[in-house]
Amino acid sequence: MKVLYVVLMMVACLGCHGQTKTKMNDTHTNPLLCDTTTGTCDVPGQTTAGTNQVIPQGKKPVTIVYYTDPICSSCWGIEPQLRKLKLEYGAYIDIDYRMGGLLPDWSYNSGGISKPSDVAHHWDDVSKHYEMPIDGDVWLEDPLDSSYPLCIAMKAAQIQDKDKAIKYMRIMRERLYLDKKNMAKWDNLADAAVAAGLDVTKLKKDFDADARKLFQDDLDYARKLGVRGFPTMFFSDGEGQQLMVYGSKPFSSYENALLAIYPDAKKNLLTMQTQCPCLPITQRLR
Amino acid sequence: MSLFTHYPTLTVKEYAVILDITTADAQAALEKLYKEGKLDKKTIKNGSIYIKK
Repeated sequence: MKVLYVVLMMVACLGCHGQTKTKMNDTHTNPLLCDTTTGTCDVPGQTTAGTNQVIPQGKKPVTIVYYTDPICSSCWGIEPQLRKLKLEYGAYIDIDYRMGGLLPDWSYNSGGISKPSDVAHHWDDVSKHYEMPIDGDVWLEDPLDSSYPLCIAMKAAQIQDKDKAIKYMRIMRERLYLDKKNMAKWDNLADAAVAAGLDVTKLKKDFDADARKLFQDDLDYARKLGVRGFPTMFFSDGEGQQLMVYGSKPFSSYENALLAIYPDAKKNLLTMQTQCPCLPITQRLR
Repeated sequence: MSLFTHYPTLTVKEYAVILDITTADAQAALEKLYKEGKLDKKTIKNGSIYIKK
């Protein structure tokens, strides 16, 4: 089966890298920082090979497999584009949220980054670059040991309700980036789950069991797809046509990828006047 | 305001990108809604997020 495969390299990259604990120890690469001088965020030893994997078709014409992590600041940076994509083309796309495991732990020392406090200034810079509010002081005041609890909590939420899970991740991010909450702590994850309308008792049960397996499945699938950083989106029609958009890109890059896969997609025009009264209440997006 | 039916919280940048307007225009529009009492706002050192009431 012919697979169309395009890599759109980052131009102004502030993307994030995810890797398994083994890979992290092998490469000594800091996953929370990127090389802004080269504009790329390649993980040593990772290639883009492996994308001959065909992504199965969803219920809508285009499936987007979105590799992210709740603490990926570049993923926070593309929230505007992603939200616009959902509003304008939501009728044509299913987004499959996959967790990348950006920060297994702090067992490395490279690139001037050896401890959580080193990330604080970087996040402030990222905030200015993307014009999205981030307070990096969380890394000074109550730093996260790992992003794994957030990733596993997201998988546990998906077991309950995929729409609520999307809302959950948004709340996690707002509390991390704006409220400086250490979202790796269970109490904070539980509070956010309540705000997202999730059943916290079930979330905890799934967090301790099935969600860990689902998270590992995401990590394994990432390797098969050749994911080497975040955000990474694979646009697929389920029949062999696939496009990958890697890193933070302008909205047009995501739109063009979608239209290349499904040219019949028609945009829901949004203006200051209409502000999209077009979607029924059942299609509310988070 | 109807964007907040879809997304209960929006940053200035999100509002601007979604509506294809400048961040200055987005900021002005959101501030107007905030001052009219239609939105809440949370401000941190690197920006604000507007919240549906």
